[in-house]
Parts: sequence; structure tokens; C-alpha cells
Amino acid sequence: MALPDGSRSVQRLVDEHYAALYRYGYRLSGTADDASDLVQETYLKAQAQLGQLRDHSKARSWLFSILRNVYLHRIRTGRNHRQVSLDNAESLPAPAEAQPGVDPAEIQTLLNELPENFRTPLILFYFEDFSYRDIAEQMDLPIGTVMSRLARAKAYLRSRMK
Amino acid sequence: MDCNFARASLAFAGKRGELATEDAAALDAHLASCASCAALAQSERAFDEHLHRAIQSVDVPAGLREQISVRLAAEQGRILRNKLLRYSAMAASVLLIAGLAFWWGSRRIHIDPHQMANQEDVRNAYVAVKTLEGAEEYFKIHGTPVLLPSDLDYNFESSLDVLVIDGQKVAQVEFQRGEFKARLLVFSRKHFQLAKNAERQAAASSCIVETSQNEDFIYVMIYFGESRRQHFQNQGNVVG
Repeated sequence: MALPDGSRSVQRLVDEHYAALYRYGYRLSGTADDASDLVQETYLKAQAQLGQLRDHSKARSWLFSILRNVYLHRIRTGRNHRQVSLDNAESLPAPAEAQPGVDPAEIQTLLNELPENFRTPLILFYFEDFSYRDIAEQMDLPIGTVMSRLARAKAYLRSRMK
Repeated sequence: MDCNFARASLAFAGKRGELATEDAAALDAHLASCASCAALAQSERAFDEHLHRAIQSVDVPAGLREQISVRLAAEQGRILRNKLLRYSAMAASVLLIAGLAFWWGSRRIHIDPHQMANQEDVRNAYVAVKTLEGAEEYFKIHGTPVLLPSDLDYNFESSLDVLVIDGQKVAQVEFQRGEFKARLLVFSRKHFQLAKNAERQAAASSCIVETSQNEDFIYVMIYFGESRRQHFQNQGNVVG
């Protein structure tokens, strides 16, 4: 009745990916408590669905996908950030300096202003190893759409950063 | 490669290297000769690096990994408890399949909490002894003397109980050895019988039931999961 192999596999997933998942969850949700909850719920779902993971090299992408789905499920029940439209984001002028400063504390405020479907590709892009193709698979979008949203999100951030 | 194409290619030309090899070479050549595009590439690269560091710059709470592990273990425990409950229910069904005959009683039985509390103390005392003789003594003083199998190692005994099945006492011994678990029920042939065509072994999806009998008793051993008799036998009796 014991599941020693399953437990060891899940613990390995925890050891290898919990920190990255937390950072992702934090940037998606904006708060430490929500990020902790998201990570824990992600691992509970991963434990229950471990049979779906046949290739351990895809574990990171799989876990990120679970966390994003958990996050989306939560926000559908109604948490509203003040969000902006990015319809004209690409036309926004870049700031004059060549190397804008990026304050880690400020970044979350700016990320919260982005709609989720722009925030997520941006966050995924700046996490190690996520290619356009990875992001497109995560979000079930064409690569072109991912690139477009990423470009607009970056343009918005550049225009807002001091 | 012209400037428009070069600037469009910059999105691919980051550290992820998603640009095709020949296009990457063409882009490098263009940047080497076009100061404007080179400056833009430099600016994009710097912004990407800064943003990458900023987005990654999140302190992970101390103890989060342990918190996750505890929560996973708690959930695993809940799942195993639910499975044990299902196995117990299934074992009861298997007894019916084995085809035992019962005597029906009709009088109502009085429940005395003090008596039950005392019995619990006595039970715990005998469970702690963990010998065949101790277990037999326990059942004897509870009005159901039995002869227990001598090939089993009673160091693995985890509980002793007297069940009442349709008015008749039945001795129950539970065995636990690590992840292996089994239950022995001993029925008196004065009050119970096996169905004539009952097989010595019956299998369900999560347990196996073996029966045997001698002149006085019927022995029903229920093995849960991967447990088998050899897991609970005295070393000298282990076969294979």
C-alpha cells in the first residue's frame, strides 16, 4: 500500500523546483502568502497526477503549467488588479537612458498593472530556460502571439521605468 | 540583411539562441556594420539582463520546502487511511464469499462502558507481551479459547481483538511488519463451517484471503496489498 517510489519522485520535484516555482508564483500573484499557497497546491496536484509526468526533463515546464492553472482558477473567482490596456504599448517612447534601472521592488507593482495574459509570458521569458516555444506550449498560443504580447509588455515596462 | 529585418531578428537573438544559424550569422554581420542597430541591440540586451535579474530577485521564505513536504506527507497519509478503510470493508465482503454459516441470536446485548474500559486495559497488557502464549491467554480469559498458528512470529502482532459475529465470539489477531499488514481470524468449528466448495484461497483487487482448518478451528488469514504469510512467519518456518 505504501508508495515509496511516488513519494521519492515528488520529493525530488520539490527539492529541484520549489524555489523557482515560488518566484514564479510570487511574480504572478504579487504576494508572498499567495505564492506559498500556489506552490503548495501545485505540489499536491503534482503528487496526485504524477503518472502524467513520463519524462523527468519536462518536470519544470509541467509544474509551471500546473501552477499557472491553479493561479488562473483562483483569479476567476475574482481578484482584481488595477490593470492597463496595452493596445498602444509598442508606440510608447522608451526612456532616454540606454540602460534603465530596474528596481526589484518596483517591478512587482508594474507587473501587477499588466493583464495576466501579458504578465505571464513576460515572467516566463525571464525565467531561465523558457524559450518562445516553451511559453507557447505553456499558454497554448501560437509563437507569434507570444512574441507580440512579450514585445508589448516589455514596451510598457520600459515606458514606466524611471 | 537590412535594418528592419535586423531589428525584428533581435527578439530571437538573445541567450536562448532561437535564431536559425544562418540568420544569426547575418545578424552579427549587420550589427558589426550598423552603429544604430548595434546600439539598439546593446540597449535590448541590457534591458533584458536587468529585467531578468529583477524578476528573479525574489526571496524564497525559509522553511517553505519543509512546509511543502509536511503538507504532501499529510495528504499521503489521508489517502492511505482511506485505502485502509476500503480494504477493511472489502475483507468483510470476502468473509461472506468464503461461505461461513452463522448462528443467529435474537437477544439484545447490554453495553457496559466500564467493562469495555477494563477490557481495553487488559487487551493492551496482552498486546504488549507479543507471544503466542500471551495471545492465547488473552483469548482464553475472554471466553474464546483458541489454538493459534505456531509458524507465525507474534513479535509482529499489532492488536488482539475478540469480535462478535452474529452472537459468536471470534478471535482476531492483526499483524504489522513495516508496510506489510495481515489479519488472522479464528473461528470455532462448533459454531462455524466453511462452505463445502470454498477454495483455500480467494483473491480480491487489494487483498488475498487464505483459509485452513483443523479438528477444532477454522483459520482465515487476510493479506493486504503485497503481504504474504512468509512476512509474518518465524524465521525457521519461512519457505522460499
